Parts: sequence; C-alpha cells; structure tokens
Amino acid sequence: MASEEQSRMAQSIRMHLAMETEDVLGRISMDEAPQAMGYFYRKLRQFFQQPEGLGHFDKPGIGTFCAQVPLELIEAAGARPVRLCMAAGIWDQAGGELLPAKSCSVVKAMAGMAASQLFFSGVCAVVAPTTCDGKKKCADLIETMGIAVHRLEMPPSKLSRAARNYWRESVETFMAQLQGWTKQKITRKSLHTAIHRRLMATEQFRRLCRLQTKGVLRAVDYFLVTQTGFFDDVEAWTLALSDLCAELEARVAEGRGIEKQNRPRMLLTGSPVLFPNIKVPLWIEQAGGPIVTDELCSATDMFHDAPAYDETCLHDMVSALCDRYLSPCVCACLSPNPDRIRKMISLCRQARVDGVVYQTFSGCLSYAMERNAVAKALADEKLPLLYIETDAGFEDQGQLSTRIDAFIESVQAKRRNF
Amino acid sequence: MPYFVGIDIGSAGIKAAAVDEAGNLAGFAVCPTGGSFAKNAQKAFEELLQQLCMRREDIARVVSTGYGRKLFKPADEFVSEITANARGAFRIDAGVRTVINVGGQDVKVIRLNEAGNVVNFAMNDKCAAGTGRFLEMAARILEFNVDQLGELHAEFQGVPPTLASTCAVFAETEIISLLAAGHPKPQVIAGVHYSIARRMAGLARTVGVADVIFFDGGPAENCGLVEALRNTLIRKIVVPHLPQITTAYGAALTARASEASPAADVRR
Repeated sequence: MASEEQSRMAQSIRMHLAMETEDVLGRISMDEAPQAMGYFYRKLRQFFQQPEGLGHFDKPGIGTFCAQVPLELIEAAGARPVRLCMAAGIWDQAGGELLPAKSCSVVKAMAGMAASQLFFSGVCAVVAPTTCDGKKKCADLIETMGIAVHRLEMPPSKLSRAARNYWRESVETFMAQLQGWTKQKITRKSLHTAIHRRLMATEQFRRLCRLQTKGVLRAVDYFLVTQTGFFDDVEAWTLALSDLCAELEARVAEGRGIEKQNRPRMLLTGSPVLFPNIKVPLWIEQAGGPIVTDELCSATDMFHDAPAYDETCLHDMVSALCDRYLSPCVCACLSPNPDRIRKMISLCRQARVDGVVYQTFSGCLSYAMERNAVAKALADEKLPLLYIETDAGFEDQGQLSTRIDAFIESVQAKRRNF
Repeated sequence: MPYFVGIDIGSAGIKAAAVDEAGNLAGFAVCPTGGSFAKNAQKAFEELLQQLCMRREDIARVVSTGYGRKLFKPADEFVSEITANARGAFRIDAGVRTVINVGGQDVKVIRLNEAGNVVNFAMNDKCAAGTGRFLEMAARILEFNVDQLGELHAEFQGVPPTLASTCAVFAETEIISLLAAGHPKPQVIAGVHYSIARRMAGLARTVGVADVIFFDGGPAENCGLVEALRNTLIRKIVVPHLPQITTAYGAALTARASEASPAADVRR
C-alpha cells in the first residue's frame, strides 16, 4: 500500500513540477534571448518534465549534495554527476512534511525530491559533503529512505595543514567508495580525460563570464546555463556554451547588447540561485540592474576554478583536485571565512560593480550570520547592499520587487549625483 | 499650464495627485483599491482629471507607483513607492532624513541624505504584521471604524496592555482574550497602537533614526498611533497635512522631473 501512495505522490509532484517549470520559463521574455540559449531552455524543460528523455542515462548517476564534490572523480569512475540542489516550490512543500518548517528551502526541497523518487531512478547513490547542518541532516534523512549515501567529510576550516590533510584523506575514501559503486577503477588516464573535459568547460565558462561583465547576457539566461551544468553531459554542455559565447561575441562586435549606459551594475551573493527559483535575478534584471558578476556556489564558485598540476600522475592529479575544491571554497559554513569577503571585493572591483544584492533563504543561518561582516566590508568600499531573505515560492513578489526596484533606483540616483 | 500626475496604486487605496510646473500640489483623488487595480486606478485618475477640468491629453506625464504600478497602462513610466515616497516627503520638508510609512500591507522606513536621495531603507517581508491591515482587523473586532481608533485611544489614560503579537491572525485571538478579561476597548486599542509602534521602531532602528521622523501613509492620520510612535521612539514625529498622498505626490514630482530630463529614466 505504501508504494501505491508513493507513486500517487510522485505523480502529483511530477505534474506540479512541470507546471512550476513552465511558469518560471514563461516569465522569461524570449525577445532578446540568443538563439543558442534554446539548448539550455530545452534541457531544463526536459530535465524537470521528462527526466528519462535526457539521454546519457547509460552511465550510472551519482547525486551530489553540494558544490564541494570533485565531479572529475565521478566522471573518471565511469559515472555521471547530478547535482541535486534544486529549489522547486513543490519539493520544498513535500520536504516540509519531513523536516522542520524552519529549515531552508533547498534542504527541504532535496528531501522532498528524494521522497518523491523523481530523479532517483537514474541516481544510484548520493554523495553528501558534510558542510552545513541542513545538508548533513537531510543526508541522514534520505539514507533512511533506502538511498545509498556517502558522506564526503569536509573540514570546518581550510586554513590549517590538518584541515588539508583531513580533506585529502576524505577525498581518497570517497574515491574508494566510488570505485566500489561503479566497479570501475579510476586510472591515470581516465582521470586525466575527466579533468581535461572539465577544463574545457571552465574555459568556456570564463569566456561567458567576460561577456557577462560586459552586460550582454541577461542574468536569468546566465543562471539557466549554470543550472543546466548541474546535470548535463559536460561535453555537450561545453559545446552548447561555446555556441552561446560565439553568438554573444558576434552581438558585441555588432554593437548589440542589453547593456544600456547608466545601468547600475549588480553583484549577487549569498544563498545560491537554484532552478526553478530564479526570481531574484529575474526581478533585479527587470528592475533595470544587470547582474555582471556573482559570488554563488551555483554559478561562479562552481565553474570558475581549475586544478593545477605539473605531472599527470594519479597522485598529483588527485592532490590538485583536492586543492581545487577546498581552496576556492568560500561557503559560509567555513570558520573563519575571510576569503569570501576578499573574493567579493575583488569581483566588485574587477566588474566595476555599483551595488550588491545579498539573498539568504529563510533557515540558512550561516549566510544570514555573515551578513553584517559583508555589509561592513562593502560599506568600507562605499558599495550599497540590499539584503533579502526569501524562499522557494513566488508569494513575496510584491514586497521583494518593490525593494529591488527601490534599491536599483537609489543606486542609480547615487551614480547620477557623483 | 502643463500638469504632472502621480498615481499610487496601493493594496488598500489608490491615490492620484497632480502637480503644476512649479511642483505644487494642484489636486488629488483617493479611492479604495478593491479587487481590480487597473479599473479603480483609472477611476481615481478620471476623478482627478474632472477636478482639474482637464482631459488626458492635457497632462504632460503620468508616473505610477505602488503595488499595482506595473498594471496601470496609461502611465508613461513607473517608480517604486520607496523612491516616490522619499521624493514627496523631501519636497514637503527638505529637513527630512527619516521617513516612516505605514501602508495597507507594509511598513517602510526610509533614510534620506541631504540631497533627498534614498540611502537606505527597510521594509517588512511578506508578512503583513503591524500594518494598516492589522488596524482594520483590530477595528473590526472592536466594532469601530478605523478612523475612530485615534479618538478612542485618547480616551484612555494609564498603562496599555501588551500585545505580544502583531500578526493579524494571532493578534485577533489575543485581542479577544483581552476583551474577555474585561479590559475596556480604549485600553485594548492603545495596546494595539503600542504593539504596532514597537514593531515600527524595531524596523526603524535597523536603518537608523534621525531626530525628527516624517510619518505618513493612511494610518498616520490616527493620532493614537502617532502618540504611541512618539513615546516609543522618543523623537519628534511630524505628520504632513495629507499623509495618505505623499507617495502619489512624489510620483507626480518624478513625472515632472523626468519630463525635464528624459535621460534620467531608469526604465522604459
């Protein structure tokens, strides 16, 4: 009987998810959309509406719980990574029955996603880095649902030698677990290929970031590109991304672009933008402030960095990967976390940012608690900050869009006066 | 002489105001929002035109603001109510540095600089606790009109009861239990006003409070609430002559300003 109830629930969630996806994609104006964006819109629709039709399901899927999982290792072991951080309102609601109402929407959504079995048909196991408390407890919960969970132990700091050694050991344990799951050995060759593929992706992503700084790509499109990277085959994604960059570069050459003079340039930071919850970038853009850069684990922090090694021997490559995932991490779960502010300030200077929007999900205490330190550092740089606390739904549209509009207007007024 | 119109389409009321070339208030109209924003906004607009004995073509520019700002098609542009409110308040009194506005479903605190620009603001999240809606709810339970609450507050002397919640739903049960415990209505009303004032003060402190507070929005007409806010913030509270239309007035001033320099537009 339980399984019948479960399948009913899955069916209902599937329907609501499809509605939500259409609603969100429908809010994006197609007038200015580059043609090459079609690939990403299509993939997202497919993933959220008919995940079976995505192809490349020949390889076993390994679900990842956050940006801290070295994806190259999963690919080198012959599997495909699927990042499960997605903030659908319907999953949030389903997860609300399993976790306290005060927990953050992403964590609830992941629990709801697991409970509804959707996507887990293609995912044989889950890797959960022990980062924030919400994700840790969510991993404990989904393990009780019979899903195989590996905890990728994460040090609470990244500064000490002990922390780096601990992380290295933790990654090695994860490698052993992976090989056990896929029955494929991670070899020097397979890891080198996997790293190379991700390097190509990183190269294209950086190309996109340069275009983003010029303001020729809408923030919503930018985030849809990174979201597609959560589950898409990395080579196919890189190819589509390179087409997009080429099209945008051609626009720049023609002098076409969405950037108009005097638009206040924004940086977005805080809790990640996770499809279908793209309302904050959507409203910032609609208010007339292009997002020219971001400090988010769902965008820049996930795709921008590359591992560095001299010799292509397994040991060196694994070491380089460990550094690649630990050193640039600026998640608010780290203590201390001075790098986050340093990184944000340097991004603001590089991209000539006029204002910062800081979003946190209700229940994401670590990001909420870093707010004052960030606000102070930004005030020293004379950069205004808008702090937003929100969750997966659209019910706060009235208040939020008013605040965002007013913020952009005040930044605009300030720019005009100086 | 050209006129400029601002329409503030709020959650409870629609306010239209017109200014002349010099930026002086030429007329205003107010009507309840009801269920259809666009239709009632049009009604308020027409009422204003009638008052001025004018047609749409005689109006140089229309700027909409408020929750329904994007729905009012005849507008030439829109502006957020925070910017509009600041502009209106600053024009009325150039010494204003802190504005507190209570609307139908939100509370805003705005900080201005010497140039009248918004430097910081705070606004309640999606919850409508401690707003005009809350006053309406309290008035309904106590069987009064909202505009009677001020006089009733004045009848009360002494220490008002504390309402722990400004949530419209929880406060309803709290008010009922106060009445059931035999508290006279004026005392309960004072308690309601103080509970809203406490919430406003908390919000105001997050952005900083100047020595003089400019208090507007429909509920600013309620002298009981003004007194509660004065005693809570321990500062001078200034309420403009027509507190409900400050934001519409600011939008009209925006229309006048962008007519002068169209390049200043943020949108459209």
